[in-house]
Amino acid sequence: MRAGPAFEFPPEQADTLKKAVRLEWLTLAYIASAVVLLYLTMGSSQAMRTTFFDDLISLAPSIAFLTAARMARRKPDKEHPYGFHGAVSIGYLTASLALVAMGAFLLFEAVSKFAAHERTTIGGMELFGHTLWAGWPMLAAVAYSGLPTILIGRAKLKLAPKINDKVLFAEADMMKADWQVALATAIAVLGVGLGFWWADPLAAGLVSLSILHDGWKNTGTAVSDLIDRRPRKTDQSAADPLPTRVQHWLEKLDWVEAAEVRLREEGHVYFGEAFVTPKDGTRLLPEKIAAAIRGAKALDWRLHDLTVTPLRDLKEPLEPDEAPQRA
Amino acid sequence: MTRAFHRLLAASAVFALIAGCEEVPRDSHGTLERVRRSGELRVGVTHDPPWATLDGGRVAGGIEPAIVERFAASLGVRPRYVTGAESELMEALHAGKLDVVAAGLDKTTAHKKRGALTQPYLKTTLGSVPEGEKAAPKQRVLAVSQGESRLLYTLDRFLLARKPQWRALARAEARP
Repeated sequence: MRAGPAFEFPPEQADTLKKAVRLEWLTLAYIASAVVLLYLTMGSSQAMRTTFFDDLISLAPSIAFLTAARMARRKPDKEHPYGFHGAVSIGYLTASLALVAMGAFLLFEAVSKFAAHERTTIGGMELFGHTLWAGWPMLAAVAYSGLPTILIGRAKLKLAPKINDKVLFAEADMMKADWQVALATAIAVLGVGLGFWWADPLAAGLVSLSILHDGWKNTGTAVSDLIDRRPRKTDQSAADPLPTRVQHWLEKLDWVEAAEVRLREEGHVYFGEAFVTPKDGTRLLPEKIAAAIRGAKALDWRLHDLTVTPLRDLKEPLEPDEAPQRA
Repeated sequence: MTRAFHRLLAASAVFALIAGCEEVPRDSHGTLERVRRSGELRVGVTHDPPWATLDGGRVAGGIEPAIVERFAASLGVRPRYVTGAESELMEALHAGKLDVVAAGLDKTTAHKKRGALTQPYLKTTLGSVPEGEKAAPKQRVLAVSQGESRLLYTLDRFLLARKPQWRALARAEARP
């Protein structure tokens, strides 16, 4: 059996991936340290608790990215003729669902605390033999967990489209917006300090909503990917022009009368089919088709595998004449 | 980048301003202020030796009444005791009818959603142990009315600064 190509990325993209993997390990280490700090300082504040879980669950996309990046590079074999590119989409769906579950859980907690009129109280905390208001260490932990993520998020946002990695993009997009979570939590802590206990469940509710929203949005994208929707750009802003480009390129070949192209995403890369109508009297068709496949793949690294099917007429029905039977 | 950065800068400036004033933390309902003005700290106690011993509905001794007396004295006020079961006292605390509950609570109390727990003032195996269970060291705490961060912070500071005193009280109670 003919398996798909054995590589995932050309050299330039492989370099970008290496950078992204390094950044991702850095993210893991940094978030883990932030999670510990938040846990140690959170006290009875629901906003702090929510930020803690927000950080904890943000490890999921990082882990999904690292696992998928490793998986997707495996070479195709007899059992897996299309390779392992789909691992990226599976990782993406898993991480998105984790966000949905976490957001819903935290929103429920915030609402029930508010409904039960549990008034957040922040007292003292012993630190190096001194007792200080526990709100100050909370603010320090929030600043530590919120500010560097903006920079890391921005760095990843630049890399993601280069390797067409949606997990990386979604994660970077969320990290970039993390300062809003930090700010909401800081306002909640200070609000409690100024005697407005309700600032805490309110901020917790808002942060939970944003987690839920992120999860919902990304679950939608991940599901669409898995059901092979027409490819969209990495940032989801518009349809990817690549299928049309391939079609135009085929139509310009001197032996092609008409062409149609459909592509689907398998993680970072695209697979797909082209149907072409050769002009009358075309000779050496198999050679021409092989050349067309090679040429089309040279258009963009993401076009991983293409099959070209010659048809007399693009509208020609290909359904069987009788209802198919199971062999 | 710059817009987000400026917002953060502005936010930090606001925080620094708030940090500069002595008023943080404040109570939601001004409890500490009220206690100081009225000269009376409303304390819920329950009979649970050695934490508190009641005799005929009156406080007769125990570690926690001793702590509460000293705390009230540090504020220049006197405690007024209300007795009852732990769950009743915690409900009254949540309703704002009490300021402090000293009911032999530990950090894992089932009623912790009805009051704001202080920092542990003592870790000890002292106290009643349910039948069939081993005496495990527990973190002893008091509770104040929720939302009253100033009162909680003031009591936390008082408790944490005097841990040797509380250990001495516990040693005295442990002696038969």
